[in-house]
Amino acid sequence: MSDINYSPVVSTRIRLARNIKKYPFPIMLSEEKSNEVIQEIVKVFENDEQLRDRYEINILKRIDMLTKQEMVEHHLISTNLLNEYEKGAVVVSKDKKISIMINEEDHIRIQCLEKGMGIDDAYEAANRMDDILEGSLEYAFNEKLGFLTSCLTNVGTGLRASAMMHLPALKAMGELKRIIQTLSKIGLTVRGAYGEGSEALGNMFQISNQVTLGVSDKDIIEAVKNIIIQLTEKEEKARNFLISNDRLLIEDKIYRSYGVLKNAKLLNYEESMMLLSDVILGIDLGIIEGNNTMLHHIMNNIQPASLQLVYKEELNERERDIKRAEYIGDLLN
Amino acid sequence: MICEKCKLNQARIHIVKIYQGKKISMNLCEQCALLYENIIIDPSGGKNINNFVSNLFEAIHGNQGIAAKGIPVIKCEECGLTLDGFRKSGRLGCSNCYKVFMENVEVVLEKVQAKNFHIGKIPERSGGELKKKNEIMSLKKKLKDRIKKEEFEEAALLRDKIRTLEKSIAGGEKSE
Repeated sequence: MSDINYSPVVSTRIRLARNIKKYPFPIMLSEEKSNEVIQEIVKVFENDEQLRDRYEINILKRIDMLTKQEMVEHHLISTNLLNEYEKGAVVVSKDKKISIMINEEDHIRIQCLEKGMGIDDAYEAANRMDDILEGSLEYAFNEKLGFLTSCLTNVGTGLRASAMMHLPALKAMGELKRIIQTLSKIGLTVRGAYGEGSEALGNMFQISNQVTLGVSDKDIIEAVKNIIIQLTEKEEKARNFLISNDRLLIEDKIYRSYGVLKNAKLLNYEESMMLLSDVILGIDLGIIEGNNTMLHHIMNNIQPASLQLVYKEELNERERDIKRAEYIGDLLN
Repeated sequence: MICEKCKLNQARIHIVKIYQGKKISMNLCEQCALLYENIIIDPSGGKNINNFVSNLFEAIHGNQGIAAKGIPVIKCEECGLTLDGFRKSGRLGCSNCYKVFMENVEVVLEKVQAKNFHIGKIPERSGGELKKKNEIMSLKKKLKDRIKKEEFEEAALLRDKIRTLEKSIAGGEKSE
């Protein structure tokens, strides 16, 4: 269980919200002014030789819709920015770990993603990018309220620290509801990491801080880290309990899911996610041999838009179910 | 379970308060939780935070708001956002909106944030002034101390330092 690959923590993410002082926030920005904001930020990357080589600038209105949707599914941009794409851009590092959304709810949204429990590294990288940008841009900052943001839920540090966690055992034991309630009392929120409905597809949950003002960056990171550790322990306890209670039942469920994923001819998104969750659990528990990094990759690529990009063609729902089954079957067999 | 206060609606909120070391628990409906305990439940569970903020306004001010006749429209001169616009979207339009809608901003902050002052990162460029102000405060403390001890020469040095710092801030404020 000590191997990091077997941890329920899939990835950790840091987001910093910033605005440039001399421009109104994106909701009050004309398309023309939005372009000025984009240019101001893009200039920072273009004028620095090192940054220029390491980052790619994407002006959203110059990119086709499917690619934009894929960016949403891979969390490089948000649905919010997709809807306002005429005014937006995104700068992405070549390794895809850092992305800077331009003209989302705020002028600048620095996001940094790390696999596993990499929250400190993610913060360090985001913070460095923040310093680079601030070197050239004057931020909207107020002594009392800190970094000014369009929504008051982000003001202060502008920092959102989050973790994506795979919690199938806690879900199965019906313990999550209680945990979610407890977390909300200490200023943290939990929601599904995939899809848009209320159900967490594939038992993938996103845990993040809600409060951004009156707490230091370090405190936020520590609080989220603390919860990640506690949830990891709880999930592992729940897994052990399920196994010791009826190992055969768990093995049966996992092998059934594995069998369906390997052999089905039609797989819809929701069902695939549920089955993949079982298989990831199977790998974590040593029941199935395999690589859960690959399964996380599959989870990402079987989302509707991503799947169409994998096959480089537009697919209707039924065609997607066929291709999804084909794609998963190929990778698992 | 029925709400303990109104005894009409279904109690959907369980509140536990620790008051002077005693534990008090209550089961309330959403309306009574807001009315008596100032608790607002976000029905989306944090998913739709902007709606949540604009709902907060409705809950606090009722629907009459500024849309009511006879009340002048409050508007940010810099970006053009009106108070009504802020209430509807839950978002501010620019840095200046924070000053224009200060009263409303504070009401929302009280609900969605831990405190109403920043203690996190201070940026180099825009935070330089804050750092200077902090320095002035500590110098002023020292100055008082010197005067009390009748160490006037040292006090004069401190006073000059404070003046220089204050001047540099005043110069910066003009550009705001």
